[in-house]
Amino acid sequence: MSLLNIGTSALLTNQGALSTTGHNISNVNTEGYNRQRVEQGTRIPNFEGGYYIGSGVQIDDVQRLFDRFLADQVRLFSAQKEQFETFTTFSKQVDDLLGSESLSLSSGLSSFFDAVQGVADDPTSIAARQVMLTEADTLAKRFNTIDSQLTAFNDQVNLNLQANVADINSLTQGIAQINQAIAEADGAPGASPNDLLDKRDQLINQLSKLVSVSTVQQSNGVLNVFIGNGQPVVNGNSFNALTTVQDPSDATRLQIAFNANQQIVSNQITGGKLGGLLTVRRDVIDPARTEINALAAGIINGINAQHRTGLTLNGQAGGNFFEPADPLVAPAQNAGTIRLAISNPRDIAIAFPVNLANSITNNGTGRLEILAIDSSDPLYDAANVLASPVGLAFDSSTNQYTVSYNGNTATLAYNPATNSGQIFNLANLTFSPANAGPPLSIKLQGVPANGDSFTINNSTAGGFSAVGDNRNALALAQLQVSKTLDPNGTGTPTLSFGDAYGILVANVATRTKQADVGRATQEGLLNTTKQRYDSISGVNLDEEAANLIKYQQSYQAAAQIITVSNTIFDTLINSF
Amino acid sequence: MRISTSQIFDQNLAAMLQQQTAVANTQNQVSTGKRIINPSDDPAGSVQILNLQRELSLTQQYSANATVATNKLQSEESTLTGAANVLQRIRELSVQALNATNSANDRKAISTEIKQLNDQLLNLANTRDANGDYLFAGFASGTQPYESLLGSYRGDEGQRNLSVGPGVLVASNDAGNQVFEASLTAVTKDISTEADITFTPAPLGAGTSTAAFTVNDESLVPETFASLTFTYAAGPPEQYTITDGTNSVVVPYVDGDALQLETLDPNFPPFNITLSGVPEDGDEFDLSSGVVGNGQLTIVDNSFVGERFSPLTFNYSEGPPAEYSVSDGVNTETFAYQSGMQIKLANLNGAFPSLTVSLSGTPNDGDEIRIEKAVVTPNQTIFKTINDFALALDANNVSPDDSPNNGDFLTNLDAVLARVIDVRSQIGGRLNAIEQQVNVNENLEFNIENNLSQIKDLDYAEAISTLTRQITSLQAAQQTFTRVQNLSLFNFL
Repeated sequence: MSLLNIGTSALLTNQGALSTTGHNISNVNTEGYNRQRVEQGTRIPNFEGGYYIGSGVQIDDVQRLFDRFLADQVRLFSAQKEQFETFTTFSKQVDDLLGSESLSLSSGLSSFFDAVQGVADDPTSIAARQVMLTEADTLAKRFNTIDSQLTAFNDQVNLNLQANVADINSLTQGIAQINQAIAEADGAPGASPNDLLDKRDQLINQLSKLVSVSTVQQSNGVLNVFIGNGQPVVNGNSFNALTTVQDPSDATRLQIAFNANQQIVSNQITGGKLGGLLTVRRDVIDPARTEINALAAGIINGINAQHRTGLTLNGQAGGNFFEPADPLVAPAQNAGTIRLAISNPRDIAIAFPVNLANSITNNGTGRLEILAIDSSDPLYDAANVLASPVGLAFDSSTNQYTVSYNGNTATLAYNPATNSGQIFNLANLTFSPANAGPPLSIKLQGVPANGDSFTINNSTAGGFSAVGDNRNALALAQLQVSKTLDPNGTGTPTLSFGDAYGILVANVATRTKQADVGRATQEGLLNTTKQRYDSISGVNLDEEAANLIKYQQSYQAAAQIITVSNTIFDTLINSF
Repeated sequence: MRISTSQIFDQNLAAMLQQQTAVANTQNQVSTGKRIINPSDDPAGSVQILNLQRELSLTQQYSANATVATNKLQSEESTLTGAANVLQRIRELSVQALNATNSANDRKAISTEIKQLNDQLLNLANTRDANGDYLFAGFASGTQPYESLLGSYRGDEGQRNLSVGPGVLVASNDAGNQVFEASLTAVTKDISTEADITFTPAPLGAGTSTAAFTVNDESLVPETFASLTFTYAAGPPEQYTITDGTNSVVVPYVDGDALQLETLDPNFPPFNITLSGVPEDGDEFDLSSGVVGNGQLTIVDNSFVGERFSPLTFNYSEGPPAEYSVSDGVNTETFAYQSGMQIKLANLNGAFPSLTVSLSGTPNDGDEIRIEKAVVTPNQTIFKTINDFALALDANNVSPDDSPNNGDFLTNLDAVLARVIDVRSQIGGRLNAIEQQVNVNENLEFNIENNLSQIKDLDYAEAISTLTRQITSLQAAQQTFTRVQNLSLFNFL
């Protein structure tokens, strides 16, 4: 009788093994499937008086081949790979935007300043002035386009944050439900609900593509899942949803909040698509917007300050060239709002507001050049810079110029042997009786004769006629190469407009490249780890084919046991 | 190591995809010809490209500016060449006109031609460029610099600079008043005399009179005025009676008091006298205008004196012997006087200008004649100078003593001609400077383009060999994939 039982146990066990092999074969392409193996053991032997006789085979366990450490590694690397990938997707778009020939601010700036030089070549040419206006408009529009693109990227980040948070919530909900099922099924000793575990691990894998997670296994088979620095998103059979909320400091941005207490956890979140979105916004989109706005503000302020210094073709004070930024809007949105303040080419201020009349009777070789006019005074009026003509008369016995302005006089020491070519700021001289100098910087050169004199007067004095004066255009053109931007607030400008744009492009490009390299590294790590994980958990069809043969043969042999048992029984029956 | 079946599949697939991406990237590089497609391909390189492109665009603009400056300067240069030719022709004509063999009619004819040439010169000074801007109006390029022959300069002294290189500015114009104007030099001749004072002591006086009489400002003394008689009365009150025979004024005497004669009586001459000392009753002074003599000085030949010279003062002394002393303030020479004599001053003293003057008439003791060649007007347009000369030719006023006389006109013409030629040579210098800068710019442009190409452009040989290698490995991956996939134990079951 026992032989029949032994044969039956062998049949049943091999059937189970064959089923498991079949299960493995059929799930060879199932995502998240871990191969299973039947653990066989001998049945409890029968004690036949003085000795034990084996009673056959049984299935001890259907084991899931799974390495928790490797599974965690795979999740970690896939979270990091996804973060870099999402980062790269967005930063490559910013990179493309800034690098594109048709949108490049670099060529826009060059074209604008070329047009300024064109006007300097021909100050009276309306055509040249129109070209300058058009190029300035093109430059402003490029700023606008880049700004609107960056705004669009920001909106895209918002949309993606919402979609990812929704995905995370549905995944955590699924995990919580499976936790419940596992807790219920885990009751039977020696039997683990392998496919449910696979399903849960698969969900956690998917979750880790969205955000870095850590898991803690409970004794009843339940797995708790945490994000960030310990926010529980799955706790046993319940889950805590994440939400998106408006950034309190910037209404255009969404932040991630933990639903339980509406606490913003964006800064704690790392890894996965969510982490990628948050870092690309923090490291690329926001700085790019800040820098492009700062550059726009620098251009608006720099060009406007110089433009206000000069006189238009009609001899009127040059106003703003670009519309000034609205000081009430913070943070500054200059790139989005920059546009021309003037539309008539005659209103471009190309002439300097003061003019020099060095008397033709001067006998020496002394020369005076008006270099700059300080227009920073809020009351500055280009049409009326000087309250009276500025007179300079040289006395060769004392080597000094007597500077007279508006009823006050000052002395300016000028030794032709040592001071020639030096620049003097007349506002810094000490005038008496009242100490009020003209806002002019002049360069003195050469050897003046005794009594030689110069007179500087408003260009508008006696009617404006200096339409061919291009000095303000030259000063405007100089802004292309002069360092006017002071991004670090050191008080010493260190960057030209072009430099600032170069730095912006370089920053974005470097971060994009870094992220790209990071992505490749993480992808490599992920692949290696995945191979090791698969070498334990993956199904090998050749192996299963061999097992199939093995268990088939065992089954056939077990069937022979039944036959033998039957033959023995027949022999016994027939003997009667 | 154990390998799962899906792993074999995935690995092969991933390898093929990777190869395909690499092939696509290289192909993109080959088809665009660029090594850097996005800035992130080479962040440092792409910033260098931005900087180089900016430099390139700037350099090209400098070259464009240089072309504009060259055009402007060339048109100014050719205008000035025309002006110099006109001025030369006027100079030739004026030398010819001054030739003694010419009749008044000949001179009129030459004057007509000079006037025409002068109009032509004026037109040249009012030349406009292609934009309708006046070349010689300074910054006031919309204002005609010279409206008429006699009008003054209406532009300003602005010089428009164009940048033809980094920090290299070249002036592209010159103000008309720096070209067509010069300070006018002319000979002035001033025959002045001192007032004659005769003192007649009181006939019955004790002979102790110390009365003195001084004319304070000789320069205000007119050449002729009605004689005045001052008669002292001891009084009291002490007083002088002043009479010119018709009008009479009594003034109290205060020792050393200055008297403004014209305010005492409007008929009296306009100068100051001082009466001093202790006069005696009846003392009498006669004040009469000094030119009793009619000494004359005529410049006979000044053709060799272009330069200005400091004032020469001729003082006559009755003597005997009758002689003139001549002084330039430093050197003094004396020579005997005969009416009608001619004397070459340079022969007296090498420091004197080489003028030949003729002295005639009967001068009075103390008579003074001053001649000077100096700047009379600080600035005069050449058009007015020529016009004045042409009008003088019309009137046949050509002797060296006539104004504008021979030497002065040529001196003034030469001054402007020198200016025109000087400005023209300055323009030549500027054009040279531009040309050099253009060469520098071209070299720079070439270098920048070279650098740009090295950074930006693709090395085709390298790229194509890379592409070939990548395609080969892709093909290998594809072939092994199909082979490995065929291996399965199930094939043999």
